[in-house]
Amino acid sequence: MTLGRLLRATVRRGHSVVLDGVSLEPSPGERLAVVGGNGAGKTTLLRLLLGLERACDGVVQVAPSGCGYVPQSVEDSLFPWRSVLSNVAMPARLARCADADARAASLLELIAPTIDPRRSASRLSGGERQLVAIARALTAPGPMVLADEPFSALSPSARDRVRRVLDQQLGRRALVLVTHDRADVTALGARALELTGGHLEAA
Amino acid sequence: MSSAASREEREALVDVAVPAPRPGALALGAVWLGVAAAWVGVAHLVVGGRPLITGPVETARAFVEAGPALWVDLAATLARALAGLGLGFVAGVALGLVTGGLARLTKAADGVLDFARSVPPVLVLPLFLLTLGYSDAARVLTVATGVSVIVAAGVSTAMQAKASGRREQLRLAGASWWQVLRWTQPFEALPPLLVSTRVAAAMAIVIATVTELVAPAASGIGVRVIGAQIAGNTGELTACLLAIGLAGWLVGWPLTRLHRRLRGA
Repeated sequence: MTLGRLLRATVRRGHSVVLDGVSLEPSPGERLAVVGGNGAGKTTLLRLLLGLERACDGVVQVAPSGCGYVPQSVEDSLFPWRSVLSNVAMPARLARCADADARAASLLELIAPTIDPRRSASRLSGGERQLVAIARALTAPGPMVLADEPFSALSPSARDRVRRVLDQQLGRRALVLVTHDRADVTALGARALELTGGHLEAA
Repeated sequence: MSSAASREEREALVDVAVPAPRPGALALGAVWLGVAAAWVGVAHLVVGGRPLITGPVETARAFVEAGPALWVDLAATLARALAGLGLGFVAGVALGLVTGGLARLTKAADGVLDFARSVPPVLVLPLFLLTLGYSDAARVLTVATGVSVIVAAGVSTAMQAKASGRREQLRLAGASWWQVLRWTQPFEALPPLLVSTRVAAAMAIVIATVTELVAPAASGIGVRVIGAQIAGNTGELTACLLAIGLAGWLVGWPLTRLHRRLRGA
């Protein structure tokens, strides 16, 4: 089963080239970490794979429906009028998983044990929102999780815990992680790829 | 387990609003004191040999002299305004749902709504007067026309008021259009809808009053204003202004409260 594929994909914004003939094809269970400087195009790469951005050249085979996604800006991706549990269970509920709520509750317990699942998502701090977004991505039933700097707002202890949980809970799912922190790459045993000048190379 | 959790969760859904500090009684008192001072100040202005408006004491006397008849006139104007608001709201919501719901129509509708917004609603009154005669139906339909444009623009905006991040998450989870609507629309659409309804409610009273000025009715605050103007009764004119303002506040107050609650302001 293909998890999405980029083949010589090019993305331009005005006169600048964000991605220049980038190829990427995650395999089931594979863990990839995309590193690179600010504005290197890491987020664009992830969004391209998810079908949230368009390439102006090359071939893009979008990731299948149901993949978990932790966006860089989690604030407007949560549903503030719903409870934390409802937010985390959302992908599984929409996929009609029978155990959506139970699955969401257990992941929340592992990732954010201090957050009451019944609490309104509007009353979460920045770090808590990020934890909820990570739990939601893991609740998604799809074969891949894509995470864009998912640990950036977390304290060092929360970061360690979440890395461990992510490592354990991924199972056979693939991971495409965007990060600035090499420690994330090591902790998750990911293969690092560096994005520079619009080109993707083994780091 | 799943259904129990859902029920529990529904019960636990907390209002989005975070209570903001309420204006203290002192600040509120200061505002009203300022308004009263400004009123007294303006009442002392003499334009063309006459005061522009009367002061609090003379206005209170005008209220007493007018008696219940003023409130009957105000009620007649309010009845026309609310009937027009109801009709215009229904028509505006229907129009807004169609134009805002269909992405391709939205851009085209923007131009149409801008065009319609530029036409003063009272200008359609002569058309209704010609077809329906000097009737309340003509006045109510004029109010409804003005209101429907405002509400349609609000609903159309509300239909597009989905944060892109949430839309993306739903799209990635394979949500159908109905699921996207159910998960986002009622909540994200409510604030812009309330804003347009507040504006429409105020506008309904304005239009209803103006239709009474343009095409005098048997009763109404507009009719009373014309009578007071002919009689040169500044006190009654000021009383009418206050009464209509009070009506606007009474109609808008619950909507303002609800909107503030949703905004968390």
